[in-house]
Amino acid sequence: MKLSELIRSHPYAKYAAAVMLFMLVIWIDTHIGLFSSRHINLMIRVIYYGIVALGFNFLLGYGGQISLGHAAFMGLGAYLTANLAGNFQINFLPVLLISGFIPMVFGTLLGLVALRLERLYLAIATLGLGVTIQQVFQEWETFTGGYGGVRVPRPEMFGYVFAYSHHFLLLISLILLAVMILSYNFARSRTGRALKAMRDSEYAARSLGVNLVKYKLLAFAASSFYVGIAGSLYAYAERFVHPQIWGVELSLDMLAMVVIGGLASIPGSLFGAAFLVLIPQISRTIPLLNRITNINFILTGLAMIFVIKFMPMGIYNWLELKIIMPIIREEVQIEQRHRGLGEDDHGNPGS
Amino acid sequence: MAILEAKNLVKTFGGLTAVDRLSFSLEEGEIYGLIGPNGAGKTTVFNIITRFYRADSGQILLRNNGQEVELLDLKAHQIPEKGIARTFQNLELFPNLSVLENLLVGHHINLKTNILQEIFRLPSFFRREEKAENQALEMLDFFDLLERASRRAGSLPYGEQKLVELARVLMTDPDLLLLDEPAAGLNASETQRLAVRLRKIRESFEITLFVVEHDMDLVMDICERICVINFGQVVKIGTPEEIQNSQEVQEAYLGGEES
Repeated sequence: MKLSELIRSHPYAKYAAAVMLFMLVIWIDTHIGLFSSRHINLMIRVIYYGIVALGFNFLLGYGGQISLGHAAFMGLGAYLTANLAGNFQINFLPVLLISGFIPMVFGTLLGLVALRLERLYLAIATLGLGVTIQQVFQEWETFTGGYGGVRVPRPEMFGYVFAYSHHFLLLISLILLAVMILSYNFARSRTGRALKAMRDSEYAARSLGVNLVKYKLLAFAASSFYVGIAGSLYAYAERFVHPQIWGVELSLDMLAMVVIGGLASIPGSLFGAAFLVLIPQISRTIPLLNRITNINFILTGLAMIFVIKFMPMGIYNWLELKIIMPIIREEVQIEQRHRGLGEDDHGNPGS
Repeated sequence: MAILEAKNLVKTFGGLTAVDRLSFSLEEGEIYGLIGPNGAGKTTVFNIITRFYRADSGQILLRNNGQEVELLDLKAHQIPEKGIARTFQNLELFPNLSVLENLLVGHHINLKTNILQEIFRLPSFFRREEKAENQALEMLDFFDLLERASRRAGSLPYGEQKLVELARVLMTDPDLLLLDEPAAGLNASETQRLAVRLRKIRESFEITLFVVEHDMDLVMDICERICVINFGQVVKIGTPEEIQNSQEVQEAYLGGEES
């Protein structure tokens, strides 16, 4: 099969295929109108949380560091966007980048804490910072509008205003594609390997010349940058930012996305984000379950336990290993039989 | 000319003196053994040289490529750049990385790509990455591990994991290699093969080997000079014959009349 071979041979093609699905939705929406704007908004939410999960994966999945304060960086990105786009009428792209860079600076400062602390202690310290920043959001009314929140204008790029949500979905899908490709390049390189090495054994990494200070800071910087950008996209998509959601629950959701979707997996991050976004939607439609308050947290917790116990590599890698790979392998074998090739000489990954 | 010279090293843990005014020196190109009873301070010496521990006092001079460096002024991650690399007593592989990736991390200090080249995949990235990968594959070939390249390192049998650790540390392109119990956990025939391999490593890569080992057959077989320590102090330094015939060494191991 041409397509499956392409997908197997180059990971970019896999990401492009995923993004094409979103494009297909847009096309169907404009021509047939099968999807309601609620569906479109859900997909937008999956994408910006996908970027959050990608960023958090650099911290947890690749770097082996933990933070329960990253919700604050997402909030910072969102408020920056609200102010820059609202008060200063700055264009979409510069706003997006600034909303990434400033949280990155704060994230790097938080990384300095990570140099001294590990595991549980690091989790508690970052949790404290997250709660503190959330308090600041609630009180600093000139910047955040306090409890009343702040409105965000529609995204504007090169004079074009994205007034329809499916146009914004198109834009944000392309951003997702770019982010996934850059993440892949980052992960499959000297830097990405150094992060994974640090996660697996700090001793060995240090003995081979990996500067732990540099790479810990880098893990925090990169993850806060992603999360800040996602916060900016959140602001543009929801068009209203209020301080209530930048709490511990969101930080824990980030953790759950990465663990459920797949540690150190780029498509897995997107899967995890989709899972966390869709759970409330699905549980709402099930009778009895929807009567229980906080059912989403219960389901997320159960899912995390299930994934850790039965598929520790995460949902995506499990699917690829158990479902997709056998199908592709079979296709390749059938095709070779037709061509009269006796055995697999394409360097099929053995065992 | 000595490649490594340690003078009056002292390291205490609380009230315990693990290394006590220890001095020794390694000649370039030799295989030097460091032995002693359990708790004599052998691994502590390695940890001081590689800057995992901070020595209380003393000096370690590295004379390499015409430069003289005081190791105790450096940070742990700068040690490999100066040409010193080590293995660990309890394997420290990156178990979730493939064997090839393990070796590429070993090449970390020699692979000069920066983040911009990496995320935008500039041509220089491909050139350097490919060169590093070829070097790693050659190294795996040297260790007869080529067909293991894409396997998860943690899934290999113990003996092969030890070889991967050796291959990985050689990827740093060291001039002095510190081996902490390379034969631990190996059976007799594997140990014999290791002896052959260590000599071959010394010839092929033209490096100095510094070995901490409990297996006396291996130490007497490969080392040209041996330093015996006990309670952090030198008992005797000499050739394998001198060590085997030494009264003091036997006392250190078996316990003497007094002390």
